[in-house]
Amino acid sequence: MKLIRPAI
Amino acid sequence: MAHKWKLSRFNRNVQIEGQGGRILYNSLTGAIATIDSIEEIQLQSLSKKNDEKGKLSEILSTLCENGFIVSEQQDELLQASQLHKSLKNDTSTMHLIVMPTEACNFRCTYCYQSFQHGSMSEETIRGLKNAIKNFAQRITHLSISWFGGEPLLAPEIIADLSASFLESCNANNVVYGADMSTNGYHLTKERFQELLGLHVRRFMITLDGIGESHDRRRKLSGGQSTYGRIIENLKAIRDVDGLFVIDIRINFDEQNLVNVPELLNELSLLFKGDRRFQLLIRPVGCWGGPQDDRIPVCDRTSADYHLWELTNQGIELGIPLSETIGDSLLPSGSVCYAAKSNSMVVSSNGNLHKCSIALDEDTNRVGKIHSNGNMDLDMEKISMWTDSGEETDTVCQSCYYRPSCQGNHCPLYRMRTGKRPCPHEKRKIKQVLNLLWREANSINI
Repeated sequence: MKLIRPAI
Repeated sequence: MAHKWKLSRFNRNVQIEGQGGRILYNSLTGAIATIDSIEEIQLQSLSKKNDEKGKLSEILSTLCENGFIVSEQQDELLQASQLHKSLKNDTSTMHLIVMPTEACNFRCTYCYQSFQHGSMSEETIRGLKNAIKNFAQRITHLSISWFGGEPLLAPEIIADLSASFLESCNANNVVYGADMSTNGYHLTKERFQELLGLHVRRFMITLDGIGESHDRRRKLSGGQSTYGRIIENLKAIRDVDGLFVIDIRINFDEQNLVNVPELLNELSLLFKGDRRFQLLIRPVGCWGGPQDDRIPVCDRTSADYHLWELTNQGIELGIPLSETIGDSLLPSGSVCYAAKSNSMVVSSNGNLHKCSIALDEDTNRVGKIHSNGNMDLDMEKISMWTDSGEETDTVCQSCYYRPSCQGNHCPLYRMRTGKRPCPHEKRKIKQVLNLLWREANSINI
């Protein structure tokens, strides 16, 4: 799994 | 205690184009991630078993932290409703769209404006300065969008107002930022550097083709060409060492659709590798202006297709995607300024509006600013813009995209047509997520 953009 | 988990109702899960794996997106947290086929099996089997929280695998923990999976007891609809209320009740920030003049040196073929009023009156300038002086004592962020007309026909008003706004903000520790929508004709390197000094850091400049294919759509009021001068200005700006973003906007309809690819090639030659120059493509619409019956707009299906097809062409040529696309997928990111209680359009004669398009419509004349800074506001009219979103539409309430747009992407469209104003990004979310994934890969390589 790769995060492109984390949760804000 | 055993935990039972569920997939968030605000997820979207799409195939990575051309290969295995999936892209996950959650509109309540704004998170975007990729997973492989094994991880997807783990994700899909989640609802079939109980899990101790401590025993969640590393991947499931990450999914949990980013909102893709939530506790079965979690009331996500309540969370979305609270997000919407917090935006409506936000009094700590202010966003003003300011028209220093409503005059324009261009006569674009698809423009919706009537250029009724010229430069901002002395009384309105005084009123704006006093209003911000008062507001600065109780807000934390002030954001100004310079708009028009063509704002750079009144650079002295922009400088005068900016200096006053900055003084009020500095005195009260208010974070100040500004952007500008300009046709770019008067944006010389010197003018640009002056504007950077006034904290204008984001610009939107439109090009609709190369040379004549741009000029026949976006010409001076005397009919002369504009493309050459805008390109010269952009080249000069490219040499400025500074932090800024230029959104190069391309408006397309049936007339210039075939000319966009050659423009993308040209933009790639000029700006590839400079991430300050970003691509924003939009379809032209009938925006209520006097030329509506003469604009060859694409129908919705065609517009949706070409919008992302052309954007993809630009990305593949190495032109960065406008940050506004990724930002629009964040929670509240697709809510129009017209629907926000802390946002207002200030016209050059001091009239206040919610929407920057339908300036002549009675429902959009919501107030007046006086020279002492006081604003007369018609709260009943304002509520037509701020309260016509998700609270009126059960389909919006159950939509996966609800936290992002809250049914409020375009209150004007809903008012005029009675239809749901779904954002372009939501309508083609698969293509958009793939674009963002490709963009992220190109930055990391």
